[in-house]
Amino acid sequence: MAISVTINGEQRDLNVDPDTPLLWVIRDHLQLTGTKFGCGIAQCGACTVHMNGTPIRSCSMPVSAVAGQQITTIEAVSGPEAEALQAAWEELAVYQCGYCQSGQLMSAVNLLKSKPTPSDTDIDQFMSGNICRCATYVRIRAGIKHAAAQLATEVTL
Amino acid sequence: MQFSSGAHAANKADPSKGLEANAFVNIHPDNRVILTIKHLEMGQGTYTGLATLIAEELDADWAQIETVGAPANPEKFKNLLFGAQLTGGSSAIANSYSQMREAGAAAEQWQVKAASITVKQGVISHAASKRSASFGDMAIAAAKQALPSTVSLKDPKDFVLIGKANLARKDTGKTNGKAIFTQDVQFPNMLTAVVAHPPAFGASLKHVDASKAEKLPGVKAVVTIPSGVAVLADTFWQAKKGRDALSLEWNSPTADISSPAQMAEYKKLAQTPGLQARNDGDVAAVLGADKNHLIAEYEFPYLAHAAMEPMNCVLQKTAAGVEMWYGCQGQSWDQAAVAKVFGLAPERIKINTLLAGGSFGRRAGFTSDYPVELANIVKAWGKSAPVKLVWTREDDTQAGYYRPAYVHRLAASLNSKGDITAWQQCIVGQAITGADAKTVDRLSVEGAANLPYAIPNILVEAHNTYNAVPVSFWRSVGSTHTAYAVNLYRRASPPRQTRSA
Ligand code: FES
Ligand code: FES
Repeated sequence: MAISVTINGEQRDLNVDPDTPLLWVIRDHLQLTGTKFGCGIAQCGACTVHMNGTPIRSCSMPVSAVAGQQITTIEAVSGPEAEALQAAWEELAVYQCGYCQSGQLMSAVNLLKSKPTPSDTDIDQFMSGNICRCATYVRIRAGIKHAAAQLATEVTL
Repeated sequence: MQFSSGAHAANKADPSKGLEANAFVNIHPDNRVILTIKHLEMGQGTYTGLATLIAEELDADWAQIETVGAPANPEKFKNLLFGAQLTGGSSAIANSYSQMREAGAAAEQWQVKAASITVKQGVISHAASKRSASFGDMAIAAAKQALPSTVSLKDPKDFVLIGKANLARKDTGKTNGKAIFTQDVQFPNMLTAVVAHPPAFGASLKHVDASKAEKLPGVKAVVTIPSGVAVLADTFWQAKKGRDALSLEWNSPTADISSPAQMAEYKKLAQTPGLQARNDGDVAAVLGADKNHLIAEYEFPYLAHAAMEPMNCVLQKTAAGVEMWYGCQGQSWDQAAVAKVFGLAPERIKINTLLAGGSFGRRAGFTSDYPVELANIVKAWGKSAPVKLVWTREDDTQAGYYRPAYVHRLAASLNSKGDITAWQQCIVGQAITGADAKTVDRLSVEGAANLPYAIPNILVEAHNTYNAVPVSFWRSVGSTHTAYAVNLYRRASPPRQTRSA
């Protein structure tokens, strides 16, 4: 069955089983491997992508449910929040193994869009669905705050 | 998709590719310096750490350094502390400190011979003639020169990189989706394998009916292997649906195991004399004379590594032997184990080492379980397309290679000043090394047998236990439980006056 999904701005007509999770369409059919498989049951956040700008767990979303929607993955995420976060992640060496970090960044982009200057509690609450087994949580928090500060200076300039 | 294998082009035959100074340093004419890192990058930062050592002596510019994981080649890339190609024991810097600096120094001196020349941040300068060149400019010419016979290392006071914080990381691609983990390996005709494992440790396959699975779209083969039944399909989802469609019957496990029964058995054992790991002075006499000594028992459960990236591996049969791509932590062990499955010499197993999404000890194990599982799948299947073995999170959690469960029993005596005069610790659990019932497993007692306190009477004993639950290294190994028990006990044991131990 052909399903049409817009991924990273490009319309893709896919011939896949409708119950195939979006994650595996992205990874195995479109070969965009930045979005990770961690649990497959919406418990870890490694597979986070944006649907119409909102974070979703792609492992638990059948591709048929996202037909006609706009999906963005880590490979194409853009805008001031994404850029500030990616720069902060490198500058503060936030990641360790890195396997969870695509998902962390995709969630963090939305956090900063909805709350440009999040508190520790805001960060902990918003990011709680993204597990990091290397336990980089302290630096994730610092990275988000660093990016928020950078964005604030850009706005006032 | 291209993977650099780390085994650089034989540019002694073709100097136009630049200078392959040694196993670790490759200087390209385009001025990139590619360093081969012999330890697995699993999040601990070893690509940055080892690169720092080489770049320091090479006087390279940090920005021109790139890194690649070393392929399996124990002769070139062994851990100098273990004598095998293996990442573990927090030993990457310790075993490579001089080796990496010498590799960097040799590469620098190969390019630059005259004493009147200086090198700084990747620029080679001759002050008298006011000429300068980049590493890339010199790479082709240097490749035609003979190796320097001796190298001299920097005085630590001249270090510009070693010891400096905040060097940009060299395990790049982790913020834009570009970093390639095992899970991300793609080849045009690659299949994905998902395996149905026995539902209990020690259980075995009785019967499989794969007729439904074999009819599903994308499913290419179903093969029975020693560790279960594997479904091979074009994509992960098809393979997983194939596994779900298998009709399986299992033989019951050879022995029943339950956590409460195991803990009860361990606690009984802890009260009996065990294998002596350390025996200083006369603990029995001192404890026997002290009616007030405190006895404490600590229970430790099995622990799963639960690396963020569930276990996985890619393997292809080739004309030359076998080629593999994965976050390999113990190349020497895996090479030998996979070679055995195929009846090949270990050097015919080519392993390309990729980034690992965490490991915490899981990817290094005496049995090389998941590489061997994939080798058995490909051997049973008999074809030559590459196959990616993917464990689901459930597979990863249930498969084990846990940190063993333990019971610790501690007793100590204090004198009137509060000093500890006798210390007894008995540790009961499975031996990671597989030690027999007469041999102390040094990994079970590390952190206890080498107790650093000045106590005149110390007795540390261990009982090795045996069951079907697979156990292995878990980060920091013995100290995860020994240090914990020791320090809990020290806090629990009431000081009579002060504590000087
Ligand atoms: S893989 Fe989707 S939440 Fe874990
Ligand atoms: S960086 Fe390793 S799991 Fe988050």
